[in-house]
Amino acid sequence: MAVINITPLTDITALIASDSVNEGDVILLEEGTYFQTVLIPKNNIRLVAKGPKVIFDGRSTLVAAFILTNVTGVAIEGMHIKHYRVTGIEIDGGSGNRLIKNKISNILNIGILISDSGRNLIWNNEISRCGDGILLISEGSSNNWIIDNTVKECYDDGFEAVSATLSSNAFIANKAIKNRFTGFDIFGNNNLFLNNTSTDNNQGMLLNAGSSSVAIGNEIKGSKVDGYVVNFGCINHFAGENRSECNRLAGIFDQGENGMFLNNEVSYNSNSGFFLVSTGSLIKDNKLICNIPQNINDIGSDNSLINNKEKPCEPCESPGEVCDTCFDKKADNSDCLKGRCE
Amino acid sequence: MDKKEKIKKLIDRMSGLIKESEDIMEQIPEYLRPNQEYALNLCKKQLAALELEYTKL
Repeated sequence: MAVINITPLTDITALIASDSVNEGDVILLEEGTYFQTVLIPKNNIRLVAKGPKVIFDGRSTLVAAFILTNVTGVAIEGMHIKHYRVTGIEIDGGSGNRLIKNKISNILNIGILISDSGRNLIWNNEISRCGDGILLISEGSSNNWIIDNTVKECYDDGFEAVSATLSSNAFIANKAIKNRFTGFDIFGNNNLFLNNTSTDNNQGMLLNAGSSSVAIGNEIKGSKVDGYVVNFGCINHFAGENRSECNRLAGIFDQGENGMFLNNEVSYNSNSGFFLVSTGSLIKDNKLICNIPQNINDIGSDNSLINNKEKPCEPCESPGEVCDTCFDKKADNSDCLKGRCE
Repeated sequence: MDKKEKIKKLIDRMSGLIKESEDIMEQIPEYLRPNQEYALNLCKKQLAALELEYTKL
């Protein structure tokens, strides 16, 4: 296994295709601005930035920065990718690749696209001002680890999976901030959402058609419409210990079947805390504070409401006032949620 | 937004970008074009997959 140093003058695609690069080699990129699209058709190649200024600039003419086709064990680490037309990094087929600590901005379509590919690790990337931040499509895009990424200010969704046949993808500790549509818009079965945050997106977290997904410890706040949404066609969904606050419509909007909501904290939302159009959901041990017009609005059927703690608004307290105080003063929530009319 | 609208939006965006990218291919240095064509063909494959998904709805 070799470490191969390269510069912006190197044709990386040609180098990887040549006999000079073998599986297991590390390609170490010198700092500088690269103007190229890199195709990686060989397994177990690691492309690593030597410093923080390894920049791939597509100058709004090139289509993509990196394309991994039917490969396993390829890593892309530490690149700064900007101004490509369709994708920053694309994984098409294959499995078990690693995209780590890349900064991707100003891509007209998708920051990171995973198409028909599973068991990849997408960790600690920062994506901003793209169409969608991270998109999973096609049947084989299952069992991926999407961990500790930040997607902000995209003009569509932060994190998105569009096929109902996708399954078992894990979204852990990601942040979606100020995206124009939904922070997390995910179809499929048996997905895990753990400790993610959605802040100031149009919609916070949308669990679309699919079954048996689990959401624990997520925080959704400041959505322009609903905070946490379980859509029609979503079956046997579990949500526990999530916080949904200061959303302009419902804190949790459940339209699914046989869901379970346990120990969630839902506060200061402006179209009910729980808005239930669901069938057969169990809503138990949740804490609801000052949601208007009511903490729980159940117009569904056969839902069970057990032992929820409801606190109405204090005199002179309203979600709009409390939340505006929060966001205007940029204080942390523990302080700003104490806001009262003065 | 329902799934059908969502996929339609993706299809429209991707179709537009593929067409524009093809239109500007002449501005790209010749030695870079093979990779651009490869990338665009991949986009077309993904577009076809999205269109198939759309027709199933």
